[in-house]
Amino acid sequence: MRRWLRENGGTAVLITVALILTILLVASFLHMGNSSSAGRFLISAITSVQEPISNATAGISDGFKNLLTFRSIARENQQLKDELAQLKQEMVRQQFSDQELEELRRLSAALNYESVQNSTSYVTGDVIAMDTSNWFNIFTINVGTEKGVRIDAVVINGDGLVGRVYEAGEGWAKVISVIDETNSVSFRIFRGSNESYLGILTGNGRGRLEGYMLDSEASVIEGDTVVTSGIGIYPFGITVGRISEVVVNTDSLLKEVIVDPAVDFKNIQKVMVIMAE
Amino acid sequence: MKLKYRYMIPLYIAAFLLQTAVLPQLALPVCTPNLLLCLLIMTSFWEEGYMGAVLGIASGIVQDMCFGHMIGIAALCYYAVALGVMAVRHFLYRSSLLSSLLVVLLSTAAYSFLYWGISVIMGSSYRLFYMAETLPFLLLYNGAVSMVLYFIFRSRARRYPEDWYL
Repeated sequence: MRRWLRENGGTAVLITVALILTILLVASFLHMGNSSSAGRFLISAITSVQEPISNATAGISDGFKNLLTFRSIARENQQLKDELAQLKQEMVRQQFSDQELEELRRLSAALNYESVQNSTSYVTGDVIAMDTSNWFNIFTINVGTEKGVRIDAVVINGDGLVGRVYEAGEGWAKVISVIDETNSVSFRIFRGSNESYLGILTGNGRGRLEGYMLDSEASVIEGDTVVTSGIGIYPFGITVGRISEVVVNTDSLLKEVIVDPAVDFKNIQKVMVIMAE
Repeated sequence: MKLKYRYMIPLYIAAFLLQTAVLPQLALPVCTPNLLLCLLIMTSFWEEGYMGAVLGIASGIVQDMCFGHMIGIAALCYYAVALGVMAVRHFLYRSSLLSSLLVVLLSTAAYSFLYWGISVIMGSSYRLFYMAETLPFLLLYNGAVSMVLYFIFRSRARRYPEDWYL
C-alpha cells in the first residue's frame, strides 16, 4: 500500500479530493437548504460586492435600452395615455360595484381566505445575482433577515408570482422561482365568474409551468388566467400566468395544463417579499 | 503564458461576479455563457499542473453555496472536467485556436451531462431534454467566450513544442 502510494502519490491525491467532494455533496444533500455560518458569511460578503455591480449594470443596461427604444417608448407612452383615459371611465363604472365588493369581502372572511391584501406588509428588494448554472432558477435579492425576510416568504413583482425564499441571511435572501422544478403551486382559474377550478402546477424546467386540474371535468381553455388558490404557502389571488395548452391525459383521465408565467424571469430586477403574519 | 495564482484568482473572482451580476441583466436567449467553466478549461488546457482543478473546485463550491440546492455538484463537475482536460492536453496542439475550441466544446458538453447526471442521482427531476435543448446555446456562448480568451492570452501564450508532433 505504502509503495503504491509512493509510486502513485498524484493519483492518490486526485482520488482523495474526488472522495472529499462526493462526501461533501452527500452531506449537503442530507442537510439541504441549511448553510453553515461560514457559508452565510461568505454569501453576505459576495452579496455586498455583487449589489453595486448589479445596480451599475442595470443602470447602464436600462440607459442603453431607453436610447435604443426611444421611438417605441414614445408609442407606448401614447398607448398608456389612451388606456388611462379608458380606465378613468371604467373607474366611474366600478364605483357602482362597491357594495358588491363589500359583500365579497365578507364572504372571503367567512371562508377564511388569506388574500394578498390581508398580508401585513411588503419589503421591496433588487435582484443582485442569478444562478450561474443555467439549471436552477435561484437568484439572490438584497434584503434579508434584517428586514424580517424568512424562509418560505412569498416573493412577487408587478406582474405576478415570482417564487419563495429558500434561504435568508443578513442583507441577502435566496429566492427559488416558481418555474423551478422543485416548486409546486396550488392554483385556481380566475375568470371573474362563480366557477372555481383548482389544480396543481410545477415548474417544467423549461421556463414554464405544468400541472393538472383536480377536477377532470373542469372547463379550462387556453388563455385562462391562473391565480394562486391560497392553499399552501402562497396567499390567494396572486397571478401565476396564463394557460397556453390544455391536454387530456388518457391514462390518468386528468386535464393537464401548461402555463406561461406572468413574470419574465429572464428580465427580473425588482421584487417584493410578502411579510405574512 | 505562465499562469500564476495571483493573476488567476482575481480573474476567476471577476468571472464569477460578471456571470452572476452582469450577464443575467443582458437577457441573452435561452441561457448565459459559463465564464468560470471557460476559464477553468483554458487554465487546465494551457497550463501544466493542477491550477485548473484547484481553482475549479474553489469556484464550484462558491457557486454551489450561492445558488445550488446542494454544495458540491458544480465543484465535482468542474473537478472532473479539469481532470479530463488535463488528461487530453498532451495529445493536442495547445497553441492552436482550433484545439482550444474543440476542448472547450467537448468539455462543456461533458460538464452539462455530468451536472445533469449528478443532479438526477441526487433526486432532481431536471430533464435530459431540457439540458439537450439548452446545450447548443451554451456551446455557442462558451465557444465565443473561449475564442475571446484565446485572443486575449495568445500573445503571452507559452509554447509547447513537444505537443506539435504528437
